[in-house]
Amino acid sequence: MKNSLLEYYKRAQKKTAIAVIVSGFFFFIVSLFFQYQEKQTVLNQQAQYIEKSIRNDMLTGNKLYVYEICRSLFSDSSLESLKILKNAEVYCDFKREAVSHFFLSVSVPILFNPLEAAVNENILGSVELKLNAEVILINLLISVICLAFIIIAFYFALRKLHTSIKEDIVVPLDRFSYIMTTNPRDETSVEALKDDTKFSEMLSLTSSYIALIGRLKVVENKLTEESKRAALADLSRQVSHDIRSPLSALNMVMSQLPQLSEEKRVLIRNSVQRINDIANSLLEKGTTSREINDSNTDKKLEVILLGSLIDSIVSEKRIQFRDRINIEIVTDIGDAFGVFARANANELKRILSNLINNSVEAFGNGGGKVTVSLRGQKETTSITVSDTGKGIPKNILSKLLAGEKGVSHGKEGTDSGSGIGIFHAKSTIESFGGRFDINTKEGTGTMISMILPREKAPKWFAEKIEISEGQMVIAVDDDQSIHNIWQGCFNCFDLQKSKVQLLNFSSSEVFEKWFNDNSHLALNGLFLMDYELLGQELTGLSLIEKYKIGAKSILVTSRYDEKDIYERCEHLGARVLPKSMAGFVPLIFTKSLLKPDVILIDDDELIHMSWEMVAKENQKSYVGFRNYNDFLKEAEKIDPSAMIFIDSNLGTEKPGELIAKEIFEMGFHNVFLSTGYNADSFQNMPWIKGVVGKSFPADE
Amino acid sequence: MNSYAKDKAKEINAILTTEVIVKDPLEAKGYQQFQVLNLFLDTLVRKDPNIGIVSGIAKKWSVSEDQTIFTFTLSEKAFFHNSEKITAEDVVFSFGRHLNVGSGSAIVSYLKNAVDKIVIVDSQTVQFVLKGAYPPFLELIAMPGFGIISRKSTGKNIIGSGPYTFESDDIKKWCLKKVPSYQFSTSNISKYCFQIERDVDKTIHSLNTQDVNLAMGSPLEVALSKDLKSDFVSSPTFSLVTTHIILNHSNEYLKKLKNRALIADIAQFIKAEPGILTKFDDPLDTYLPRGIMPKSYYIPAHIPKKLPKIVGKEKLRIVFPYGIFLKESVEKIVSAYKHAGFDVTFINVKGKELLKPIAEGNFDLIFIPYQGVISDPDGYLDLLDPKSILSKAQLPTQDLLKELTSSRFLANKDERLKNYEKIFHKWEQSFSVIPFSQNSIPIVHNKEIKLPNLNFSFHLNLRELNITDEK
Repeated sequence: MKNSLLEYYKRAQKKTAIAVIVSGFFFFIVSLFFQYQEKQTVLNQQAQYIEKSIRNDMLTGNKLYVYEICRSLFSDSSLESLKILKNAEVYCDFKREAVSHFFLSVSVPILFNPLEAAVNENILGSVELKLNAEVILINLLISVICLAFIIIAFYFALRKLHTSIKEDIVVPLDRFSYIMTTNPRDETSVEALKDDTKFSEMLSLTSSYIALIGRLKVVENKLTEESKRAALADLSRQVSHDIRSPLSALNMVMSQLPQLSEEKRVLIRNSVQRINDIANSLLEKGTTSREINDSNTDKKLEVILLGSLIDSIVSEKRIQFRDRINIEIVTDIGDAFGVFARANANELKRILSNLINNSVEAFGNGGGKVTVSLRGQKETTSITVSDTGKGIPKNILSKLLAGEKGVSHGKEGTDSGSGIGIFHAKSTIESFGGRFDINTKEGTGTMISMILPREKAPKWFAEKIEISEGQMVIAVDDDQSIHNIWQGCFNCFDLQKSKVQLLNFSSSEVFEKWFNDNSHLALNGLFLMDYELLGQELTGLSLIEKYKIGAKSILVTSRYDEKDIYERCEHLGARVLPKSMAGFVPLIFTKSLLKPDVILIDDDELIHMSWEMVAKENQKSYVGFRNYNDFLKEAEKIDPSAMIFIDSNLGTEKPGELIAKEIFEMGFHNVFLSTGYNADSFQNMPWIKGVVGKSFPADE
Repeated sequence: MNSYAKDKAKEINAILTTEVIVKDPLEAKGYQQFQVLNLFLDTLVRKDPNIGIVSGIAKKWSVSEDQTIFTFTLSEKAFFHNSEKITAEDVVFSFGRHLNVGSGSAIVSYLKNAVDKIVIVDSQTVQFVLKGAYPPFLELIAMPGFGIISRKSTGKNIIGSGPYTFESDDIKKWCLKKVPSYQFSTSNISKYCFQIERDVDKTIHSLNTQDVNLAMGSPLEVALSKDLKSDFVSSPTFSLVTTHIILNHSNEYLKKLKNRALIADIAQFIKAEPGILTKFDDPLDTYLPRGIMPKSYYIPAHIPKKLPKIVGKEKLRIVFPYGIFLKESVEKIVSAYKHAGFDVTFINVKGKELLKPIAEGNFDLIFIPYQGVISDPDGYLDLLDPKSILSKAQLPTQDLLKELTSSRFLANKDERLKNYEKIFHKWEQSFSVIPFSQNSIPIVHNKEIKLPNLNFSFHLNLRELNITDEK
């Protein structure tokens, strides 16, 4: 059983009172003891002084003199009485008239020899003193009165404290307890408690309670919202579930439609994927807040090829709005073909889709152009969705960015739209670490920019196609349109001059036959392989693996973003190119470098004739230059590892060894001097790899 | 280790300047001899440096109403060195030896002045009947010279009663060892050895080489020497020693009061000069030293602003006892009298050599140091006795002594001293004896030796020395 605060206080009060009284009493006793001790000490000192003063005269029997000293000492002292005895004889005996009832007394013997024991025969007499000790009694009385005052004052202080505890703590606490029991949400009653107390702790308690009630209300509201959301979630889950079955059927049928062109297949696949994404999104909406947190793992950021993503969403939108012939939706990727960014692909698709929808809606019933552009900078990428619509009024724009309900881009002035589209896009882009800007002008149009941090392209991605002079390019694809794209791309080169040869194969069987017949040619070829070869047993990836041509292959597929595909490519050393990007990939043409077995720079025609003849005999390639300028003209075509022999005396002002140094500094590292001079003449020239004679160099 | 063995290491090896150490109280003349006797003999009562008079061989006593009869009861613990109990007969024997005609006692006059007779009451009780109430009586019989010896003592075989007994009779070194059976309290010194040396350098050497740890009565040069090792300190003993100029009244010039007054003025002028007196000395303007008489007695003397001069030329022979003044002080005193117009001759002599000019009266002025035997004016009267060793000075003291005798026996000691004061003031105007200085005889001692408090003593009592254990 717990005690009440007042009961506890009463017990504490009782203990404290006892402690004070006992302490006071102890102080009183100690004080009395010390006063007594002090008086006794003074009395003893006085007795010893008197004994010393009269001792010699006592010894010589000078009674008169002792009496005189005795009288003098007594009159000068505050002693109650002074008596000096010699054996039984009284030498002097002085007393005060008013005899005190309370005194201290001391008797000091007068000895014949104080150095010996105070036995009877050593005792000459004694000095007896009495001291008025009433002052001790007076002090005692004062102490008692003071103690009584302290106790009374203490009593009243405790009474006051008792009242205060009762009125300012116990009563408000009781009232508080009653309110909590009967009407815990009655903030007004609790607020009124503040007036009933003086203590900040009570004020703090009531304030905290009021704050607690406020928080409880918020939680209640949240619970209500949560239950509504749960109902919506149930509905969304049901819709999502219901969509899954027809989608599966659509997927199955689609794989069995070989007669469809690649472009249409891709479009259908993307559309199915989008429906799948929408179903997922519905499912997501249908989850509770806790489930949303759990599902956030699906929204994790990944490295995305933006150009492909934009192309797919724009394709989808074109189909969506194909009936509105006066609406043009275009992409402008420019040179941002290989630009990657870290984002969530589904979210980004949804945002782009919504923004394009908004732009289209901004045209109303009229027409216009929507342009989705992609640009890549060193550290960032920017996606812009611009339209030639009516623009957004300033007052609407601020509301859009604030996520105000009932307002959205494209539906300005209407009650439709949640208003969350732009706000959601902005907050999502910002959650990717990016920036979201709107630039709009009423009557002209709107441009929305999304700046995202740029990411490096993955290793498996084919950022460019490098073709060297005379190289053979082999394209394997079941879709003729892709062959057309490649043909168009390679037409950029002068195939005759560059000696590049493009071979197109539509079936794996034909390709395999050709490969087996021309394996020697295939060794230097570049392979552009489709992944899906409809109706055929092997995929492009299987062919790459079968013929071990990974290092020379690029898998050109619309399924580039499937993890098992690009990982397998990475394993085989092959690169991947999104099929939709085939028309955008940069083609790099490189010429072959000249690398003859021997290069000679010499002004002596006979030496050239001699070296050329020996080269032919030894089946070595040979190139000769008659002067340094001729060499400089062709230098960039020459392989840096080529062996270059220079005459030490070319008939010019510049000696051969200095020309050798210049050639070395161009990047040629196998530079020799061909000279009749002794090799010792060319020491401390690290750019010269060796000094040979004028004869054709041997194989060493 | 018993307590005696523990004390054995605590020895006093002292240098004295007296002529000879004596065992017989009748042979003792100087205060150093009495100090040695004080170790050898106990007295009826003793004077303690901290307490004053305490019982000795007499454990208690009573005093008659008129203070003329002191009846002493002897202590059962009092024994002679031959283990025989001290009796009343021994007490009477000891005092009687002094009183015998021709005893040669140097202190008998003090006894004769006060005591009428000594009576044996019983074997343990002895009664002293005084000529009158005599306040300093107990102090008188506490003098070491009145130490109790066995009545069986014969010739040189003195049987002592004190805490120490003579170990040997070596004429160069006298040693006294503690008597194991001694029943009264004593100091922690187990043995005292004395040797006599008056040479300053030898004394300092003996101290520095730790041959001795105490020097008493040595010349001031010893106490003030800078050659003394830091182990030693020089302490004043606050002794009631006076130095007076005794004027030889057989000299015609000095017979005249105005001439003696001139000599006194010159002395006043000299002693006020810096460097004459040492830190152990103070100028003295009265015959009796400070500490004896009431304050009213000590009237400062007139000090002349200039050195007085005589008309004409007078011869003046001055005798200085060696060691009382530093050599420089002696020269300054002589010089002053020369400047005053005297034709001065002087001698500065030691010990027995001093006795010769005194005995022959071969001096005009003689500086005489004197230590009273008791702290009473009567303790300073020996010099003034016409039959004293200074008899050749022909001091006119008969009237003085007569007047003092008439005032001697007064029970009221204040009144007695007041009478003495008047008598001395009157006599001092005759300038027969010119006070010069009050001297605190220095004692040079090892720091381990602890001196007693000297409040109640008028000289250092060797018996009260202790050797501290502190290092």
